[in-house]
Amino acid sequence: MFWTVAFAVGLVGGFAAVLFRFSVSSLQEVFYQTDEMYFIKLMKLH
Amino acid sequence: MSKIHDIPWAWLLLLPVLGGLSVGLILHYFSGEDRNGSVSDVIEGATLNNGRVSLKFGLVSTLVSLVTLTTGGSTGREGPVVHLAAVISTWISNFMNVEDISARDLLGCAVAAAVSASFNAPIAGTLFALEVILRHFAIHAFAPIAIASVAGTIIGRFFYGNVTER
Repeated sequence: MFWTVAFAVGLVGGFAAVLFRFSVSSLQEVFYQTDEMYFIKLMKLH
Repeated sequence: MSKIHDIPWAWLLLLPVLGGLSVGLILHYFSGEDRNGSVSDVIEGATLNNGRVSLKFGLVSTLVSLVTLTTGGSTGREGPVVHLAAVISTWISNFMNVEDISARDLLGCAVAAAVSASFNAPIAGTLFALEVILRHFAIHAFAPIAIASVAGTIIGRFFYGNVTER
């Protein structure tokens, strides 16, 4: 039973983390027309 | 880089100022502590507060970190995610009326899942929750935290794919 709860908590916690990441990227797109991951990719290319 | 050059310089200058002002006002009027929360608050909750953190303070801290990250401020991303996971775990513990060891284990589960989903690193998420948050490696915590960490990784990979850095 507790392991099932743990799995459910894991799904919810993971979804919250993904939602936070998505919110950051989306707002950066709105404010700066790009997000910081774009710059990390650029730095890796050069 | 070309996209940044298309943005008016005044906007680039003004946005971090507005972000800082917003953060200050939010912290002053809503957090109740005039500071942002961090991983140390989650450790304190696990150690001294029966595996729980302040719901209001946690949500305000997450909001403040979101504003900081999106307006050009310099802050980490793992801290707010850990705090947000702790808020969720606290809510679930309150809802299920879970106490003591189980509440602390649930806190570790949520933190492990959030870290593993953020960085696509289930082993790191498990070890982080055990070593940093709970500060023990008891078997009653290890198994559910490992399961939660895998669940978090599934969610992360579902939305962002199997990449190690995002």
